[in-house]
Amino acid sequence: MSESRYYQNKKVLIIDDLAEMRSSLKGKLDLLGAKKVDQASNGENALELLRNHNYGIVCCDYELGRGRDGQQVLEEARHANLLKESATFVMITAAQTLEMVMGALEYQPDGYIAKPITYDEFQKRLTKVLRRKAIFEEINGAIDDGMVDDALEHCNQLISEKPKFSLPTYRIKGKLLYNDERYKEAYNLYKTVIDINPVAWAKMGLAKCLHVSGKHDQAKTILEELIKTNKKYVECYDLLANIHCEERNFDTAQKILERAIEQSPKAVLRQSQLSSVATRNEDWNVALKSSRKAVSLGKNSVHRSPDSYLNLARALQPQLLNGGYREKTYALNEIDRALETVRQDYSHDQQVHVKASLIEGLTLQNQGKEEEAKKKLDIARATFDSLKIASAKKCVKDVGKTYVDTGEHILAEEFLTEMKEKNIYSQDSEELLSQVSEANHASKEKQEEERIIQEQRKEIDNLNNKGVELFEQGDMQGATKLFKKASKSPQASISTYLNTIQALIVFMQKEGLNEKDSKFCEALFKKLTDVTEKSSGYKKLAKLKKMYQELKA
Amino acid sequence: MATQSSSHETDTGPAPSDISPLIVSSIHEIKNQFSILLLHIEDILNGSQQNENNDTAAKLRGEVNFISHRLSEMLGSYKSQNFSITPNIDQHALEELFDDIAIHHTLTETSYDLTIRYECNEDMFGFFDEHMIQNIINTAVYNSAQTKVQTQKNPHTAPVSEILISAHWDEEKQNGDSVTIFIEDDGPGYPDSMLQNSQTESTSTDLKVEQMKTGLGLYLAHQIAQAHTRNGKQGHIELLNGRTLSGACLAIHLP
Repeated sequence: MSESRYYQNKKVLIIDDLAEMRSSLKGKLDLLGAKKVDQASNGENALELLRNHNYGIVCCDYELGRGRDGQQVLEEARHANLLKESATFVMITAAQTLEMVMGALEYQPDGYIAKPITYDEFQKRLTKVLRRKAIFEEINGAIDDGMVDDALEHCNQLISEKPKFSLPTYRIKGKLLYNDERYKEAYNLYKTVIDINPVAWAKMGLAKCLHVSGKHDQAKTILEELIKTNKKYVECYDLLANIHCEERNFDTAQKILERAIEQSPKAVLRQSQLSSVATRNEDWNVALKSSRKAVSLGKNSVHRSPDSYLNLARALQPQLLNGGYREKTYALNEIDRALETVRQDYSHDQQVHVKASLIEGLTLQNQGKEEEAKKKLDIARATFDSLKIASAKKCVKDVGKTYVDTGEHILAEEFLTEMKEKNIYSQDSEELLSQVSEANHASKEKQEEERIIQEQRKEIDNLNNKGVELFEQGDMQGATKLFKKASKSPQASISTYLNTIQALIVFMQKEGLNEKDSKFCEALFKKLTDVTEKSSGYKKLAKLKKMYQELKA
Repeated sequence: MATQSSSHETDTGPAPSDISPLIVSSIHEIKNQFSILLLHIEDILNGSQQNENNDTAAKLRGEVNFISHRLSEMLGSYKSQNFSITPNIDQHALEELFDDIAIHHTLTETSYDLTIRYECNEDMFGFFDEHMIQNIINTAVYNSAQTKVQTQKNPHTAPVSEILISAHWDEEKQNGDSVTIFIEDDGPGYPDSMLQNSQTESTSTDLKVEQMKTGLGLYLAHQIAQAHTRNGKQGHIELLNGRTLSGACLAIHLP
């Protein structure tokens, strides 16, 4: 059969979690004349194989059990160039998964094959996918050789020769232009396509072009529209969240990423981004969940990042503070494991060591080991000081934030101010500095206020004591003068008022009623209307009221 | 299934009395069992060169395929009610689409002793969700095949021997690229009761008992066609009799 040319000399990779399915597929491919057929039972192994071999065909089941799904394997393989453009990726799915699960996606397989499948059908379907892939052979070949202009030329040729493939070809061309930073041309191309038919990928392309040229609002409008009609087009959420992060609307960004993850919970990059945004928002529940997912899904992934481990260790801190004994023990274990892994796997990255030390310091602090915590933070600081400016800029906020988190607010302000003078700052550290100095300023003001109140209380006590002294000596005029002064103070208490009234009544009993003093008494009685039977001064107040009425009568 | 469980995580969850998720997961399981059954039948067919069991195995294979499709339909209908249908519209060459369908129905042809043909201009294309439209066409083909089984014993009705799938531009091409796909057979045709309903809204509640065997598939087909919109126009399906062949004809109008 002439069709065997599609299989000969091609290495094939089968990815399926069921051994029965794998061997059945392998049997079929052997019959078709494939050169070599490798097998992987999960996404992790598949990526390992893809990294080390050059496969012409990949047949991947969508459902791969607990780890990644087929779509993630495809995305990572294409993203990290583990798979040539000319290589064919076929997704095998159960029929009903296919139509409902697959929506618009940035990374699309070259074809789908629905299970269950007979040998005949498999052969015909696969041959057909390969035949279709061959239509774009010249374009993909040029892309693999890095010849962008040739690839674009082949695109133009195909568009004019075969109008029925014009949109798929435009799609490839748009990506080429965008990746080559020819945004204006890419923008015009997407406009043209949308005029033909407003397909989802063209709108997405348009939004990407608008984003890079700074037209955020227009990009956001398109993306929000797209999400409404194409709920599963997760890349829209990614770009939208990205724009909100750039505009520093981190709460909105988090909400969007959470919605994207609802649609595709197995994407490493998205989980890791959510963990970072949630950590920044101090939403520890979300940060914990997403960083755990990012760590466990990230094994052998190109999207694996040290941040997920650091975010995980950070997000576990509230459990150290508020958890019971068991919870604390588990949290501590998980923190240790995360930090140990990240230090080991990224041992050459000094930034990682700074951030790991900071979290270790915070961990000790939250266990009540303040001395050790301080030492750890000093180590972090020493490593930080040895960083080059560019790296230091990326850690400066973390150092300052950890000082804040361990209660060292003044130190945080001093540190951030000092770093700013040394030109070591970022938008994040700037924001933190203004927060910290505002808080420090507010707490200074509060301290000052408290000092004044203390002084006023002292003065009242003084006046009261002297007043009592004079009262007992029988100097009613002198006593009333002092009591009156005390009761005018903002810190005057119920007992100050009661003493004042008592002195005034006794004074008037002796010297006779006078209008000024009785008005003063009445004003004080008004202030005491809140005193109820349960209050301690109530009896005395009742007695004084009676005395006053007798005096007036 | 991953996507399903994730959507349920965010919902408040089904009411305790709602067992439909249970039924759905059972259907899903049964479907997977059939996949394995199909593998075994394949083994029998590949192992035995020529013997009397071969025909039976081939028929069995056709039936299993058919049941799998029906189960898919049930799952699809359940999902269409609980999750909105959002077609992933793109440009597709119709010849490619029909070729895929023909491959898919190689078995249907042999097990039901039918001829499936397709006709379309090789330059034709349309804007639609490939998988969804494939599903509608598959449903129509299976329906015709089943009609053959049911009418075989009745000497007064014409047996289905041929299925024709074709595509046509709706108007002059420059007026817009609206396409209609016809799936027709040479059987007895749709009963009158179904034709009367065909132009009106097909909802799950107005399906009559005798229509149930095809109703679910048509209901889903209708939902899918309607979800295809372009320039303010909406797709729809239509049931006809005796278009070019003498029997039933399902028309899918795509804007």
